[in-house]
Amino acid sequence: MIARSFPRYSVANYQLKFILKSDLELKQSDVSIIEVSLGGLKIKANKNINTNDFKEIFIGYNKYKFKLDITKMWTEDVSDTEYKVCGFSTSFKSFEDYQLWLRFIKSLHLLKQKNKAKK
Amino acid sequence: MSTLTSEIQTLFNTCLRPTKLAMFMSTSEESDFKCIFSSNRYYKENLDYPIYNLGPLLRILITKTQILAESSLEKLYLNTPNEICYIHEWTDLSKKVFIFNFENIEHFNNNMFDQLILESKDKLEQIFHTAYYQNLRDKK
Repeated sequence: MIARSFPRYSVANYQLKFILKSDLELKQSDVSIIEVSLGGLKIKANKNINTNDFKEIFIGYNKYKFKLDITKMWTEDVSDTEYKVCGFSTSFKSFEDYQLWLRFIKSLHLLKQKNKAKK
Repeated sequence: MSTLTSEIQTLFNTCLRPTKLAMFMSTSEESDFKCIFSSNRYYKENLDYPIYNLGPLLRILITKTQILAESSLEKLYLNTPNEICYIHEWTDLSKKVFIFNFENIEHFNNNMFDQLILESKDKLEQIFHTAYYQNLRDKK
């Protein structure tokens, strides 16, 4: 098994606001972002949503806005629920978008290390 | 000069002298990269570095995972133009990384360097282990 390139951070409690560019009409309750890394996202979605359509996502957190191109890599049904989780890889057309996302990821990293040290 | 520095200089004599080198290791996704040896003033032994602060390593990973458009890749060289990273091992439980600095070298021969890395994998593993145990001993 190939080791992952970048560490992952749970954002399930952050309630990130986001808009998925998709042909579907989505409600925020249908989809949520549960994990992020520099190179990917893990999304929880209602099983009846076609996540193959997701190609671009705009994420908002406090005053920051991030624009990411995404490609679905895998899907896994969550048993006994109406949800599935999907893994997406991220990419950036603009260096500025990448730098902004990197800054956000770095702050999640610092927060995680700080919480780890407290324990 | 420490034995380790002298060993590294001997190994890279032909293409990378004087050698400035730093070695890092991480043992899990959760942990930062500990610098176990450094003859490079930019990295301090025993300090932990987040993956995002090791520019040459991040550059390799970003290139490999194709996160950035090709046209933007050269911008990743702005902060660390004279450093090159060699990933010796990359598994979930063990990551071993060498960062070489060639700022004081008149002519850096990239091809010769790649060839030397390929031929010296066992020797580099040995050097890494020596650095690791020396680091442990020095801390006691």
